[in-house]
Amino acid sequence: MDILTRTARAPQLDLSTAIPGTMMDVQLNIRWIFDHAVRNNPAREIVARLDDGSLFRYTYADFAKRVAQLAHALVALGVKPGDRVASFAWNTHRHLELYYAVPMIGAVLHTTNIRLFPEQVAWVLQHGGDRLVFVDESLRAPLEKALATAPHYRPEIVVMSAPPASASAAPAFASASAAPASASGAAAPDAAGTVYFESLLASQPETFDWPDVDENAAAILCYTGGTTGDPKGVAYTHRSTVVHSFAATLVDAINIRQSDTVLPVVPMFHANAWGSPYYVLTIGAKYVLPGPKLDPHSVIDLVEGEKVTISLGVPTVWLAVRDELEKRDAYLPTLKTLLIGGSAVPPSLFDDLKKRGISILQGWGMTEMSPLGTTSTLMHENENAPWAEQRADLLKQGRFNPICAWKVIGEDGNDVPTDGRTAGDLWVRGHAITGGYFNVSEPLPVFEGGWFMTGDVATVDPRGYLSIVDRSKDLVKSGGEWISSVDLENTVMGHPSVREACVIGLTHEKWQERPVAFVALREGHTLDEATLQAWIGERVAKWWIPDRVVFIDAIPRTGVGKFLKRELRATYGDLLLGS
Amino acid sequence: MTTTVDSRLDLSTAIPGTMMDVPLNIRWIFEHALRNNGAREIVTRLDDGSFHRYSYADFGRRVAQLAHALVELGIEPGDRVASFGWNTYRHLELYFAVPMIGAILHTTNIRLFPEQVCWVFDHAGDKLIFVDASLAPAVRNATLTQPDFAKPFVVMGEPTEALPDAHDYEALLKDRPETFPWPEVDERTGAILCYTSATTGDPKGVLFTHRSTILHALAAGQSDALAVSQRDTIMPVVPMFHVNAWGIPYLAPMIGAKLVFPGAKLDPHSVIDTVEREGVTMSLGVPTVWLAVRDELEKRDAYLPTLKSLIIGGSACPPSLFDDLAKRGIATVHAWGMTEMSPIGTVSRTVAELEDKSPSEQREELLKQGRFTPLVAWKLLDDDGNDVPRDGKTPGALWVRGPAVTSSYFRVGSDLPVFADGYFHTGDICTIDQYGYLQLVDRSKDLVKSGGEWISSVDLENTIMGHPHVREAAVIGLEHAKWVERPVAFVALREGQTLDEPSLQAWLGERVAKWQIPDRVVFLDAIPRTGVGKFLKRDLRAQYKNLLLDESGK
Repeated sequence: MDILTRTARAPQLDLSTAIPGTMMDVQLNIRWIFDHAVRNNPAREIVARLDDGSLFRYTYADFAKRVAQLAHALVALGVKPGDRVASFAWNTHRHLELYYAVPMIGAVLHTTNIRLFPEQVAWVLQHGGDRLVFVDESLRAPLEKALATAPHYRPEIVVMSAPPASASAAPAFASASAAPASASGAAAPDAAGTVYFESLLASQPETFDWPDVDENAAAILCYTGGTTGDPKGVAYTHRSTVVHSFAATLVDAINIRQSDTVLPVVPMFHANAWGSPYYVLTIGAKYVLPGPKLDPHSVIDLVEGEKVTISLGVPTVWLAVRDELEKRDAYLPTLKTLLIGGSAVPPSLFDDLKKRGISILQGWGMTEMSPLGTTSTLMHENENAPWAEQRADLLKQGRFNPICAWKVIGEDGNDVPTDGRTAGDLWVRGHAITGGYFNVSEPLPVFEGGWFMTGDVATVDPRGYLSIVDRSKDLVKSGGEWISSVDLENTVMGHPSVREACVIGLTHEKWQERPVAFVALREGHTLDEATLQAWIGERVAKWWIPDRVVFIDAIPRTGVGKFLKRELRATYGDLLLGS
Repeated sequence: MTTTVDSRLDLSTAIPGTMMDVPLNIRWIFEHALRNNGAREIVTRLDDGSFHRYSYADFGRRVAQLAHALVELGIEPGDRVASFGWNTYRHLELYFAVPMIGAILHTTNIRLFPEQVCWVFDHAGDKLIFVDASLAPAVRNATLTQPDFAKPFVVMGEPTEALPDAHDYEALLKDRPETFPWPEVDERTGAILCYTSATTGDPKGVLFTHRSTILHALAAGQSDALAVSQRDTIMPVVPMFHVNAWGIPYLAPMIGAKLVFPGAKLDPHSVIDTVEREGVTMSLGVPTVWLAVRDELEKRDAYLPTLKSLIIGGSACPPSLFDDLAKRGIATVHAWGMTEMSPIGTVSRTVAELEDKSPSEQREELLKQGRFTPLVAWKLLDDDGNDVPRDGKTPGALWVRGPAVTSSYFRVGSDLPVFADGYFHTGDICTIDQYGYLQLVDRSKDLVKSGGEWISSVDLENTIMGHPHVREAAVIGLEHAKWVERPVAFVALREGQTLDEPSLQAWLGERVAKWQIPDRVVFLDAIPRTGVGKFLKRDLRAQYKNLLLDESGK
């Protein structure tokens, strides 16, 4: 047919005639990142605060040798590709070694949330199929307690430290299974029956013939908080990990350079410390791991001592750091970016830290998303706008990174206008987003048509800034109208005496639900219900004012630092009834 | 103990993850750009000097229309469609519409000789050729070298007498639907075909995939690489037929930056004017363009305050250019790569270890080719196949590997010595230093071997270009009866300047070892260049081959 002849033809394309390119077939796996890091930045530092508070430091090159030794040890323990190996640990250099050695031998690292209830810990370890658990010395007790709730489950345990100088000083690990069969190179447990990390590594070769793991193999298993029902597992792949790493460090995302020093306060059991163990080493930045000490004094100490330029964590941590900095009237001049996510950033925190010269980069994402979805940076359209306008945009959840597609769907099933006002359900799709849950075979309504329903109700404005109105289940429905608990919380947290505030809807005979605020005050401050309600009344619509304000010492939180609203609803469920 | 132990891990027991199966294809970038930055501008300088501008949203509609047109013209997945054009909005539309229907865009080098043009159209098997109106005469001349040439053309721009039977681009798009049911193209599908002439024999084609294209964009956008933000206004002067304008046509929309295309207007006046009018923050190109821009800025004693960074690659950036631009407030970012690498391999940015060093030490590092992006694995080997030390002095042959590095040439295969053990032999001789900075010593075939010793032509060229009267210099080795080869310099002077051979040789004598001083200096109006702006040393060698023999024989 003459190519120039026009024929009416519907575009039906037969992709079977497409031809492949000439590019090398290189798997996007964790080994690729590891090799790049060690080859190009062998002298770069990794610093970790140990259980005793001291600082351990070594280079990427030293790290690589230990990763190889750990891999040999895992193989000697009988770990095979596909096996799950659990960690129950803080952010330490040994945890980082597991982050590489386990996936690079084709096995899966299950980063267990140490703040789950004992029964939940036992549940996730079993659901994950973990036959081996690595535990921090300082976390042996909670793990023991968890394993005691499931006496038939007897994983092998490795304590992540060196054996104590005196064997008799070490208590036996009561719940450990019998010592593993002694394969070549396997370390024998000490006299008390405990196997130690350092003993496993000792005398292992410092290089490993790494296999070329398929990029679609599972690498890390992470369970979400499980606010309703049992926790759900997300199994990240090597590919999703590498692609997420590239997207996370872009200029309009976290903007990390080799010359940076990164401190993840967010734990390595909270969505892979937001992916940092992989992208920080890919970029070749210095990596500082805080261990168990996440109090403001210790965090400030590390930032100053190691000249941290970028830190990552949930708002709680920075609320406390802010309080401490204000108390000392101190600054942190090296800290140029603070990535805050996990929960919305209270405007008051944003402003207070700005006064201290610290810029907050707000991010949003979910465990199911590896986790980064958006970051709130300035764009061309507002980079020369007045500060008030910039501030309003920076306080939103931000703009989507290039590996995250999104849609906001209204009640009628259509896309809502991107006017920054009309809210709907936020769905996402992308290369680092889960399409299902681990070992959950029944179809779930949150996965549909290749998209994942986040459970967040959101708006997107004309510039592409996402704002989360609320978790759909946290919205307060009062007399048929919606109140955003997030917005009300942020307003309440603007009161100078308030440290944290949590708003939930409680059953009301007349209005179905009414907002109730739970408030923790700043140290040394006093405040009463009527005063706070009056203050709020000057800032929100009258019907938004909480019917009650309950003062408590601290807001209960989930294992990853979010408000545990379910618990408050359970405890205070009847508060407004019969009133 | 440091011996490697064979682990014998059975990967067949590995388990899949739970992640969505989403391909890394060009459609993904396209939809992301429209969804998140629909209002961002794409600007093109037209032949008459005026500007065409539209938004990403407008662009998106026209890409759909173009796709409908291509399908109706009978273009099917796997077919090659050629472009023969400058950097314009229409060329960008081709960059998306063609791969997104599963076909392949063959970006033809407009500066090839006429016979070569026909040769590549033929080798690629192009079914349809899109040509800029201003380039139609050149294409027509090319077709005359092949009597049975029958490929159809589409002209982009005003109708032209040179190709009277060609379709008109705008007429093809007119009234077509503004949306297209884009198929989900497999990420390993060929997307863009680019031929390199930097090899011996016929040009060799590299077929980039959707996957390699996206990965390259993600790696190139990094803060330690090109550092592209949505806030940027990017003008690629490097042509879209020079390895995908170094990836910018995909990287800019992925990030949401404003794009400015200079069209055919690459003279320094037009380049400066465009930068000023559109507030360009980042530009990219080979040194030639910027040498001319520098000359013009110095002549005017002018500055370009919006231009924060200039990415220079393709050939080594002369230190004198780096310094002169710095005096004008423009930061040069040196980059290195190859067609076979998509192309970016290294970019020169500072690292932590240099922060306490003196400005001159930092400058010395920044002048090198730079540090590898996370997409490229590398080996630098001596003649025995061992890794050379990272001392910044010991040269080795550079081999590279990565998901955006080619493993073969299109319709030629991989059974070539440049492809071995999963690596590609770049043909570059380099050093690498303690900070991880790569430095190009020379293309292995350009080194001058004089009396058994090596002289780096690149180093000598850079030195000569430091002379205030010299605009460009190319050094080649020419046959010498006694020394086997000796360096000869070909020099083009800056406008209005004079210089003679003995003066230049004496000046060089104060800067290089005596035996490295070129035996002869030949002054030319301009150094002949390849289609992508590199020195055409092959031509100089051919033309001047007996220069030293005639003399040394006397």
